[in-house]
Amino acid sequence: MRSLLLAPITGAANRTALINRQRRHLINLMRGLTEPAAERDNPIAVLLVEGARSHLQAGLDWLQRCQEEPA
Amino acid sequence: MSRAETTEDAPETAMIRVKNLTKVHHSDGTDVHAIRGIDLVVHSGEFVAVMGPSGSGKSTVLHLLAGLVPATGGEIWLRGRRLGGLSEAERAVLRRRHVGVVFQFFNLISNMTVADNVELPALLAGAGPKQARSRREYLLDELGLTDRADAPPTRLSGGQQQRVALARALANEPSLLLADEPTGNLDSTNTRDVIRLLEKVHDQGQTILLVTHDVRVASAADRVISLFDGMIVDDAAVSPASGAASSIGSILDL
Ligand SMILES: Nc1ncnc2c1ncn2[C@@H]1O[C@H](COP(=O)(O)OP(=O)(O)OP(=O)(O)O)[C@@H](O)[C@H]1O
Ligand SMILES: [Mg+2]
Repeated sequence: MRSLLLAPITGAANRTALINRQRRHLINLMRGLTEPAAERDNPIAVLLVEGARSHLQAGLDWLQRCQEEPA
Repeated sequence: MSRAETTEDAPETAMIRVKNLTKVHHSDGTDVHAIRGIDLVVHSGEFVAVMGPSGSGKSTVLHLLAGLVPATGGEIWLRGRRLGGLSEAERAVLRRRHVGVVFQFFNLISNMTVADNVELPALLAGAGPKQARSRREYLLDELGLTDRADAPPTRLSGGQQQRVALARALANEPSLLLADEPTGNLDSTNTRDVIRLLEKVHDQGQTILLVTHDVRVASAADRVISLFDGMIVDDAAVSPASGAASSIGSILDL
């Protein structure tokens, strides 16, 4: 994440690449969480997945804001 | 290589093929370059999520693919048919038979019941009443809307209307589902129901292209395309992360 904040210094192309990499990472993490889908009946596990999901969603929303910032 | 063939119908298997697509909106004497040169191929059976900030051109792409607005430049082929080569009426037939669309703002028919809204596309596409009815019952059940079947859409919440719009788009088992933020107004439980239905129809071979800001919806796709300022800035397959860093404990910093 810190590298994203420093990206303006190193140029817009680099920033796009960093944002893309981070977006892919967050989405793949989410996929990794839902793929097993084993513990659907375990309420604690469901809550943990829900917590992780909201973290990942916040990360994605934040990346979008970074994208909207002028280079 | 000759480009002469690009104006013909393409004899191939791609569900969607887009070449150098551009769209300029004209409003109040100013030009808005909403789409600025997009190339894209979506294969039959693929599930593609489109992401990007507000104003990046997501809805415009969807409307162009549905043949609802004309492109300014470039070409679109749906199932090998070049949209620019079809008349308005031919495009309407193509859409009715092969494309289901969920709009960002639903467009349900307010003086018809939910049930009739969902059955109509199948009936228009030539399905029998019995078939249309059983498909409608299946879809409303999957989306938890069975008890709202006889209500008019105006008596439904935004989230319920959104699910009705999805059921309607899937009613005639279209070759291609286009959906603009189909979970935009939904809470977590309803989002989960929509994702499960999307995964189910995707497993049955449904091609899906949808716009979303939701990480769960995006992660259910085969592929995520990111738009920025009318251009594709990323196009990546989704694959589950594994390893210690991807555990819930590590994401939540427990
Ligand atoms: N009918 C229209 N007339 C004029 N400009 C338009 C029209 N539709 C869209 N635009 C402009 O085209 C650009 C792309 O709009 P579009 O609706 O495709 O964005 P979007 O990515 O779907 O955004 P959102 O996430 O807010 O739905 C924006 O600058 C928008 O203002
Ligand atoms: Mg939009």
